[in-house]
Amino acid sequence: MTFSVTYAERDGDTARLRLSGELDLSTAAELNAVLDRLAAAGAHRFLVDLSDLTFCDSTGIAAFVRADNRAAARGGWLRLTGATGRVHRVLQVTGLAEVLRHDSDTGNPV
Amino acid sequence: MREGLVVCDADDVVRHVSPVAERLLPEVTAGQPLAVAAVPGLLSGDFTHHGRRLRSRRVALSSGRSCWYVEDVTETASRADALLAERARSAFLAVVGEKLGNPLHPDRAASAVVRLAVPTLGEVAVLVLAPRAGRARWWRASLADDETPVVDNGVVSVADLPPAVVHGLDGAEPHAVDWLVEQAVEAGWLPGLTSADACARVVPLPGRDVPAGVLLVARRAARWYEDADVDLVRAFAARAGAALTTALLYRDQAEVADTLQASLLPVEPAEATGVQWGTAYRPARGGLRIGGDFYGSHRLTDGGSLFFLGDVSGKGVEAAVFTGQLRQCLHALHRVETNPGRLLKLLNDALLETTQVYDRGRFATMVVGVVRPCRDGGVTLTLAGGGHLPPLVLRNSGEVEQVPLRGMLVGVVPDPRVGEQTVHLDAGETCLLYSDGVTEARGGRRGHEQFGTDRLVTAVTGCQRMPAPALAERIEQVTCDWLADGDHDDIAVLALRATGPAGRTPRHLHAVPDRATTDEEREAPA
Repeated sequence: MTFSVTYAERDGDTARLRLSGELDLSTAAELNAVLDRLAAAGAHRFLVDLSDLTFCDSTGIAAFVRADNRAAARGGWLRLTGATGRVHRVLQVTGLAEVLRHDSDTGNPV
Repeated sequence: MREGLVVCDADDVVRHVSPVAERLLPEVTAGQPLAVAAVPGLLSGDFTHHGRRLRSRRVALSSGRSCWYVEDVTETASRADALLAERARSAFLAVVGEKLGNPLHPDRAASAVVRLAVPTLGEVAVLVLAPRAGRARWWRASLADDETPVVDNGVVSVADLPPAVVHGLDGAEPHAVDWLVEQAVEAGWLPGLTSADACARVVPLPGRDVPAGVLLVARRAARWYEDADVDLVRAFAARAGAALTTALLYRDQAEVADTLQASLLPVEPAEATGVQWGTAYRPARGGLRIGGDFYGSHRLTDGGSLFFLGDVSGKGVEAAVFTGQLRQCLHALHRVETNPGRLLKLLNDALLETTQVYDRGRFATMVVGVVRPCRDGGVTLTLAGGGHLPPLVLRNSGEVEQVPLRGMLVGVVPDPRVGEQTVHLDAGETCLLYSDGVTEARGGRRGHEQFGTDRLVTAVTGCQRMPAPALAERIEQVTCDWLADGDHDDIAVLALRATGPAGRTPRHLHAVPDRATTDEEREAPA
């Protein structure tokens, strides 16, 4: 299954993205490009929905970490939601699930 | 008028000779039969007479008379010859350029240079490379009986080099009168030729700063080296010099790359009391031999050993360089901190600093542990997890356990949560660390299925008596068997087996002998 990034209208400073397919070395550049474009347009909070993402390797993890680092430098963040199956396991094993966990109650993650 | 005319009557007696014909054919005189003049080749139409190239034709006139037209074509012919020679030289140089065009190994380039020089430039061609450390290597091609050049090579001390060659290596082109042939014969480079019947030329091969070498060509004196020949030798030398310089540069760069590459390869774990190590390493880009997985160990002063296996984000050279930095960090840090959990936090802080500089989202996942031998022949492992796949433990009972080791990526957040676990291995039991190249290998029947942890557990179940090296090899093997198209992520495995008291490994039928095993068989306690 091919990879795709879709993103909804920005809600203030927050950009909502939805990933589907497989995120790996061959597709991470696409995600990086979208994140950079949104950041350049002023977004510094990214909420990334992984419900339809079926695979994520270390390159994908790197893309999340990089975007979160960049957003943090401008007072923002990147958070992940909806991970299931293998993607969920990768986030658990790497501890990233905890670092990039989105607290939906407050919308203001640590 | 460039054509001469000789008119003969019906009896072939010359009746008229034009002034041009008189000059070209002085033997022909009016009033005498043409046959008396006996001009050789006149009838053939194309001939050489008194050093001139002449062309003749006979035209029949009325009443049985005839007229010979004679034309001096010497200059036209030599221009045509020169053109043909020039074409041959261009064709030769084109072939040379093509054959030497690819960056070859310097030895192969040198061999190609002399082989190409024969026979066009001489019957013998000797290439002497610029000396290194007082010795010069030479290649020679000489024409054998069956017209194919034979190439051989050797080494000569700089002190024994003929003076003309030394001169050439300084960038000067020795002149032909400098007893080149005598020097070459004396050096033993001209088999079958003596100084009396040969001629030679020596030209430097242009290099980067100084000549890359010197080319000596020699052939029988029957064909002297004329200006055009010498020009051709020089043009050849220019191409040969460029090819050799490229090859030498390429070799130098390859040496640098090999050295750097070797420094980025994982170092095999150091021998440790009560422990048998087994490793497997297969980078994604096999041609590079390096990748983003790493492992290693360091001996601690208290008799234990620190060991680690991990994986960095990214692939290829960049990832390998990052693993090198990590290994160096660990090398230094283990001298001040031997607790795996605290060590991982120190490493995290060190990486965080460089990661922020690089802004590339660089991080590592890894397991760090310390192994210490116990009195009962087993070992105790203190493990810390940095977001890496949890290790497996092969118990003597045949059970395969997954160590519940958690933790966060290294180099991503300040003060990360580091998971810690203590595991005891009885003699003969094995702890297995591996990278996600194993579990994420794609293949199987449908070609796209991940190998996964469950299949890995199945693959090592029943292998509890295997020596560590064999087990690591087996995991690499089953992973590669699983792969559909050979395309894979970096694969690394580190197996650690408690050898039991007296450092003896319980042996297995397929045991690969190593220094830790002895001839005495010793069964592990059940």
